[in-house]
Amino acid sequence: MTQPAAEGEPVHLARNLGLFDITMVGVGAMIGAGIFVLTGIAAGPAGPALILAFALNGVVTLLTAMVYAELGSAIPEAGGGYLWVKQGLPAWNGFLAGWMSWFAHAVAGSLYALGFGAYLASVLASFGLTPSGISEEHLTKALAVAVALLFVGINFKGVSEAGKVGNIITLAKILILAIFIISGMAAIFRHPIYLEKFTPFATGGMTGVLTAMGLTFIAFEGYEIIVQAGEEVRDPKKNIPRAIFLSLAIVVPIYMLVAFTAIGAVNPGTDQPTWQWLAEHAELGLAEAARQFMPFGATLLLVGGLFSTMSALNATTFSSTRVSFAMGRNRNLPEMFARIHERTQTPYLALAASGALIIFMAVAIPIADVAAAADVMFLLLFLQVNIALIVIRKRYSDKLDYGFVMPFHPVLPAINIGLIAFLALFMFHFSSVAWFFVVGWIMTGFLLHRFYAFPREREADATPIVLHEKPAAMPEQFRVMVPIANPKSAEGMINVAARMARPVNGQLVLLHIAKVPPQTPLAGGRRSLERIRPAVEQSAEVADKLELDSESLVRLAHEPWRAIVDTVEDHKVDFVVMGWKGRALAPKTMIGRNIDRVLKYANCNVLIVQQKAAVPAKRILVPVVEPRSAALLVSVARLLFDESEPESRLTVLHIVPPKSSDAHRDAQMERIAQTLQQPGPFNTQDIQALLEAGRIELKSTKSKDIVRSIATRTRDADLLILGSSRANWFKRTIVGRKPYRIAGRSACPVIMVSPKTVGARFSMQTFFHFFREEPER
Amino acid sequence: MSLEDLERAGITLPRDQWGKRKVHSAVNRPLFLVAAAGAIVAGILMYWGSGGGTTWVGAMLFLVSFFVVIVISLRAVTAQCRATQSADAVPDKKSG
Repeated sequence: MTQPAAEGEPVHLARNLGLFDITMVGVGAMIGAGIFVLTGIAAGPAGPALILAFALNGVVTLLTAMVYAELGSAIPEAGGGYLWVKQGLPAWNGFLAGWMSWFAHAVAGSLYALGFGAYLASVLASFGLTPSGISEEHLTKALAVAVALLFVGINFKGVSEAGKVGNIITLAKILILAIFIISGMAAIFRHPIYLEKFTPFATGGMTGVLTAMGLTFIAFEGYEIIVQAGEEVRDPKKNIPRAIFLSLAIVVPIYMLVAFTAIGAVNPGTDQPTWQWLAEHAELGLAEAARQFMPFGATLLLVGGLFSTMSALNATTFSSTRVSFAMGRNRNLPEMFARIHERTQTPYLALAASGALIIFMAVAIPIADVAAAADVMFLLLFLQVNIALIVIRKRYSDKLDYGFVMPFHPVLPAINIGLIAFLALFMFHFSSVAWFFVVGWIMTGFLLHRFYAFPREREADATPIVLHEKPAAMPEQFRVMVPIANPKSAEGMINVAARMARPVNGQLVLLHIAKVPPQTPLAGGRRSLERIRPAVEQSAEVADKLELDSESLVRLAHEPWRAIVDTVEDHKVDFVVMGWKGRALAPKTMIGRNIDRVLKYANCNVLIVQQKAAVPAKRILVPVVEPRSAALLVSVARLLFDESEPESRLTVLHIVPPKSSDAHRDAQMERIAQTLQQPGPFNTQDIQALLEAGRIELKSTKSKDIVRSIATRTRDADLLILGSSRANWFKRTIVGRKPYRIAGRSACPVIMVSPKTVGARFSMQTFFHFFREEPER
Repeated sequence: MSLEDLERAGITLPRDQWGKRKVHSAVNRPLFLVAAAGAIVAGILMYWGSGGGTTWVGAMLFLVSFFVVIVISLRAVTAQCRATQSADAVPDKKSG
């Protein structure tokens, strides 16, 4: 596992796990308490077709295991599934994967605690030690709470199950199951008539088989721990996928044989079918079956069950605590989750929260619903990992070194996604209670992410500010920001920004970005601060001369647009003024990557100023197609208009299609005139007076070719001000944006105004964009 | 964790090799399809066999199909790693 050292250098654990060791880790994790506790419960809905349910679960697990083999060989980091989801899917998925993982492990802990309670209650009953006046169910729950508290205490003290003890328990479990299978097979072959117990086979039909699949799915998870130990594995690229496949090759046949012997070797002594008899004994079904045909069967199975449930409970308490602790440390949960106890050095609050969750679920709902809730949550987690595989393959496959590559991509993961989703949804049929808990948990997670984790993630992920010189600004002050890339053109940009800020007593924000190469950590970019300092001082002098409230800041960033968007967010900027050289009209990158990204992600108005533009200008042309956009465009134009010269003119040109009627055109002109009577964002109240004085002209023209029509008129203008909508992906890629085509053919300098859009972040464009490009972090 | 973090942790290929390797599964596809078809048929036989001989034929067929997929996956891991090693070796040969 990689951990940050004090000096910032990574520390690597010794790679001392070979193929055998890591395979045993996987087998041990899979043959947990699930098979002991759930065989009896699942026999109810499936009947003898429990064997088929196990086989089909083996198929679903094999497909997901292939995903883990591929990603685990290419990205063998301790985070495993959580890391891949975070890597491949939008950020909230990473949060949700952690949130769901916490719940899944905690609820699995509840299941194991209840299993332990049932096993111990049975032992107490066999010795006649059952307390009087307490029902079996209540005793089971009380014991479950007691054992959960015990393991919370053990984990608080920091005592972990030593590796060798863990291996002994795993081998003991396998040995007990092996004796169970061999004894059962011997009984079946001694009495071939026992094979008739498998007829009828699927007593609950396909519905029963699917229910049993959903119920027992938890017994098939555990191989993902192989990936979590990836940083300690020798030759991980080769050994991780091999260990995953070998674990499945051992576990799936064992489960099928356990089901076969549990149903075939039992003689209930009545006409009752075996599967019904097993279902009646529920979590004790396997132990009761062993009592019939295995020497010291019940005792061995009960001991095996007690050890399995305790070891599984210990593991799930530990893992759920670790997940919530990690989420607290990453500021996804309140930081108190990351608090370490001074004496025991354990995350005691995360542990307490996990313990409370385990106990609550164990007490609140019956064991079958607990199992169903854990199953659904694990299924949804695996669903995310399958989606992450498709995205990671698309984005990073040419940058990663694979030890295993899943065939038939993306058909196979897509089929698996369908199977998992179907199985998870089907569980509603078995336990709607489980789904209510799962949906409630996920919805709580969404709310928590939206209102708690997301703002903190942004804060933590933001490009760092390394220099900040600012006067005291009023909180609600209007802010105009100028990102300065080129000190030579900075003065022009600052002048434009000052003209916008002055009428409303706004503040200028001068943003300098020190670009750091992608190979260098952002913290390492501080050395470039000295290089940028002269430009900072130079632009600050320009701003001082303008006698405006201004602040200067320097941010380190790999991508300049990220720094701009971060500053817009944390400084609550109203307007960004960006310089543009006036070329690069390629369809994919319309006017440059940084401007394109700022237009896409910045939640404010953006002014794109061609570097050769000079303000104030005497003859300004403002083409307007939509009357509603006129107010902002004309307000901006008014601020850049040189009214000192008598012959100066600001022309608002409305263009309508040739087929438009005169009445329609007049109505549009009337709407534009009405729009201009509003004060606009810059409090430009003299527009009406300028209109009356004829300094602002309203003209209209009919034209089929808007681009050519405007371009022709720019010959008589000093400045062209265009509105630029944030077009969707289709328009942008297929037809290009009209304003940029106009800008490309304009005879005079151009300024484009892109208004702030509401809710643009969640547009379909953003949705598709996510599948098309790498995330920027 | 971003691509940049993965790169820093030494998980990605060296930058000069980005985009040069084509991701290709080393799994024997025809055999995989045969095994997958076998598993599907096995499931149907188990279900429709109603606990009779057909069910057990299905169970056996399932186990065989399952092991075939496991074996071809294990072989694919070996082949994949060998292919990567030989791809790494090519530039060395050229430079040497």
